[in-house]
Amino acid sequence: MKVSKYEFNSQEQAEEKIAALPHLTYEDGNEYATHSHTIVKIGYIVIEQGEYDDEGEETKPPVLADKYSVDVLWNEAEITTVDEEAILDEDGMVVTPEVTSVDHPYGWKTKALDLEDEGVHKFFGVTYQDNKM
Amino acid sequence: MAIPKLALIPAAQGDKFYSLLPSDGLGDFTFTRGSSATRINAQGLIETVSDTSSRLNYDLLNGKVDSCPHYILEPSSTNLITYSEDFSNSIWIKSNASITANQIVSPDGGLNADLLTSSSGSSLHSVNNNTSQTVTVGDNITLSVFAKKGTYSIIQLTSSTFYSIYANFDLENGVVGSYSSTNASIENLGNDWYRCSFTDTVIGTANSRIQINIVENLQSIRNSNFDAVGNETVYLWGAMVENKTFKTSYIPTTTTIITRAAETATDSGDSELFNDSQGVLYIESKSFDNTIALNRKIVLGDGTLSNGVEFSYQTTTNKIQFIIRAGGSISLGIETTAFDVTEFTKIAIQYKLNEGKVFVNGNQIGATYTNIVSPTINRLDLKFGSGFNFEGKVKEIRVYNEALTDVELASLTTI
Repeated sequence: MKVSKYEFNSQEQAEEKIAALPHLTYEDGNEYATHSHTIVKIGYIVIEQGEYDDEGEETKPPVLADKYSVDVLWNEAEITTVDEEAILDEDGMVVTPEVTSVDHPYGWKTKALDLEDEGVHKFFGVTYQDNKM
Repeated sequence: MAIPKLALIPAAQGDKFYSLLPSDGLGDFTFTRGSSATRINAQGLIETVSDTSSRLNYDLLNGKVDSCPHYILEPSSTNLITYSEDFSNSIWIKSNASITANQIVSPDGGLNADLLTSSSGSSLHSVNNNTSQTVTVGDNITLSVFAKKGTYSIIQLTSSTFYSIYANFDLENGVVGSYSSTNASIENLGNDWYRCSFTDTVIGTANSRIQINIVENLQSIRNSNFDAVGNETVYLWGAMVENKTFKTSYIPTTTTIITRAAETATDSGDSELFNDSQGVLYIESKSFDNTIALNRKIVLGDGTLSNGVEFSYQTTTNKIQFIIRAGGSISLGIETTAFDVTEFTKIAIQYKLNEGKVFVNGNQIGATYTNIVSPTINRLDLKFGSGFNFEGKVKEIRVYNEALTDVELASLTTI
């Protein structure tokens, strides 16, 4: 598993990238995701807390970031590409092992963040720092 | 009656869904979940399991552990509040109330449940989580908290930012009082602990805030003042806010909000194990909710969308669908809404050349179909093609490689 954090210019831009991930169009005409990545729409992160009265009612709304945040727990197998095939000898033994690489899907890399902490969200039992791409 | 070729009876957890039959492991399902998760163990305690482990989960019936466990397959969910167990943290705003940390044993078995004590006087007595995680207006939202009576037993669950929605709970008798939300429930976890929850739609300014009030009675309106003596107490643990139409297994948080990944169980058996000319697919399972957003399927087929003996929970309330599909053509299609899908039901789909039928809870549903075309069968999946992953609780799955009599099908599926 790989964990990545992204910032998009808008929710619409994020939704566009998410919709471009593998999916199928079923017989009912709707489209369904066929990937097994876990995508969490964090949304516009609060950068300045709102204010609330004694009963907890909001008296001043929070200030939100202008970027739309998304965290993804990528299924590594589904974002791995084979760069060089393995070379086998006559007996089928590996002479040169396969070369693979793991990367963000198309259009995601430029939106990726490189944080030095865990940010505002984590996946249960999986740290960003130990698993980031 | 014939002996099944495959029998999944939840008895162990690990990197598979383990089938009792066949004993060589061919019937085991590949299990995946990208994160840790919690389950209720055989002692009735909530415990965390790692990302590599399936979950053998135990329901609690009236506070007592059901001796028969099930495998649980949940969707991804995020607990949208921080410090879900630490009500003494400053993220929890105390209003005419105080919190004393770590007073009694919580539902996870640790000495980490907090005590909420009202102050004296007529006012709102509450704790209010101030996590500023935005949620989308119009989304479904479910709030939950584990609570136990102290010197007092009536609490109200609400949110300061979803305006007007609330539910009242009686921790003495385990009942839900008045509520304004879509639904509300109280689950007896034993030892006087209850998980109180309700579901509604996000309106108003949308932050993931949850508030627990000590209120006068089960009919108290939202955020009503209560003339407290000042020694009214209840115990709290494990609060959760999630973008779901139902509560899912508890996700503990501290400094950040946390997501549990979805889980799948797929690819049991092969063409040698199963008989694609005749047989029976038997399942005992239940759904998490009466109405779901996407069809959830269990399919004895070939991993494609074209062949399979299919069982599914459908998006229409309480609808169960049964299909036999071969070469892309459906030769049996039966639907029913006669059962509460959030209760365990026993279903059997029999397939045989020119004879297909369905039994649910001891009775045949629909007609016997006489134009059945046998599908290609070489695997059993708790999904359909590449999607429609099954979500729910599974107590048993069997595959018989021969047709059964109506008496046997009725006996097999009788609750």
